[in-house]
Amino acid sequence: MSYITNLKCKECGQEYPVAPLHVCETCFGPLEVGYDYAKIRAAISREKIESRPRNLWRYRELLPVDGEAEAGPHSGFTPLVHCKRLGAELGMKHLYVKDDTVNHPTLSYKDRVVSVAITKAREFGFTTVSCASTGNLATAVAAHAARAGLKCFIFMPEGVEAGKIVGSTIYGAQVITIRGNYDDVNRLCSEIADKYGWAFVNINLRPYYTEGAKTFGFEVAEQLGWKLPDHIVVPTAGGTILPKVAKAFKELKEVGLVKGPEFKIYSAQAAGSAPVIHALHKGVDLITPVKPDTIAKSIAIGNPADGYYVLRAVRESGGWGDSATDPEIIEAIKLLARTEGIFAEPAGGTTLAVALKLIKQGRIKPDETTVVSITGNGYKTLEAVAGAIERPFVIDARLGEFDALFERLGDGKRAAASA
Amino acid sequence: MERIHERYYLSYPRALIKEPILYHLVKKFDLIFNIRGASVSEEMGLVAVEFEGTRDQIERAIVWLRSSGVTVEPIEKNVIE
Ligand SMILES: [Zn+2]
Repeated sequence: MSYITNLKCKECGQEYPVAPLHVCETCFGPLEVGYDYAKIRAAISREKIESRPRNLWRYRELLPVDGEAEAGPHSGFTPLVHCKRLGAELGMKHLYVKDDTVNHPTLSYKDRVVSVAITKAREFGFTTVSCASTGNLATAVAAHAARAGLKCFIFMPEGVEAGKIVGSTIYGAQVITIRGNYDDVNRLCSEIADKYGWAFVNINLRPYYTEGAKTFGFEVAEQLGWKLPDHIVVPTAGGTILPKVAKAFKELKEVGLVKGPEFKIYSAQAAGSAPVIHALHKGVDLITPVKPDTIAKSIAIGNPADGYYVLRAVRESGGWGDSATDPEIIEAIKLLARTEGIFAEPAGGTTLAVALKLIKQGRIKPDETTVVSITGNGYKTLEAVAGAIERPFVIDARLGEFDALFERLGDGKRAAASA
Repeated sequence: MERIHERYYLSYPRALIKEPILYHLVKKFDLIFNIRGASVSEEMGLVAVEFEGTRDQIERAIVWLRSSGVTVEPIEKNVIE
């Protein structure tokens, strides 16, 4: 049973049938899925959701699919970690990390959006799925396509690291690298989507794909005991996740699953790729594209497709945003790892580094419930921090050598006294 | 030559807002274009436009627009994630 009513242009409001379309024919504005919220309100309850399997499909009434999930039976419902040690360092009592480093099966938030896109691709009758990606999206599409038995083509710009290619090819995807710059790759992919009739998850399936990002927000609210946080900090790359988390929170109110105070939402970008933050700080609507230069590759998008909607969601909520430099990002990755045992990719370091700034600026207060969104796993980007990590000590296999080293490290006396 | 349709956003910096860019475009490259939306603010002008022409005409037109200082992007903007 589906609760989708139509696709609707976010700019001019023109309505379209539920089909693999992504832009308005009249004004080229992006299309958004519409739902019958009155019907959903009558069909859904906290108890019903809580009785379902712990995956992202427990919110299926608010997702744009008609039938059963065809992908992602173990995706989503990642931990919301109450960060007591990190919180103590920062003087924050109710600091949480929403931890998509452990999303199934490819360790990033992309497992959410791709689960929904692949399910929709099956419903529309597509047999081939595709995307253009340099990282997490490619891996997620390749893995979910494999399990769903769909053919998969992945496009990457030439010169991408060998590891990225392995991460998709291993699942049986056909990887094609394209000579040319990012603009050329973008244009070619749009043309292929048109001509070959494939399901490009973030082109012709984009309205459905992006809806999957709402589940990040639904889970945060449910895991806080059906409450919205006071603050949530979200990374911004193409601009998919932030507006959808805001939409998720609003929908939960709309269908009666949560009540209570408003949330504020904050955008985090790497300083080397911060077009949305520039516009936010300048107070303008137009986002001027930049050439990305940052270690946070998974969020290095210089010309975000949905950047404008990020600005709008941030401003509407009364939130704010900031950027973090590469050294700040690395420090934040290390801080999260040593206090909470969570190893985030640079996108997550960016989010935490920005959260630290917002706390310092007094925008986030010590007793307010704050969620930091960690969207991907550090094991995939070891090279980003490898140079910033202490080297191991090397000793011969003799106890005396270790005793001497331990003494030198300064903990020797304490250890001996307590023995 | 096969004629194709392609859709783009053109953004003009402030200095170019008063220039008849699209007029020059038609004269130089014999393109058909169809404007779907436009907005002009203090800092820049933004036009959503569909070009109709041969692949070669459109490609040369884009090169010329860029050399004139106009930013040309497919309406999907960045699809690489
Ligand atoms: Zn429209």
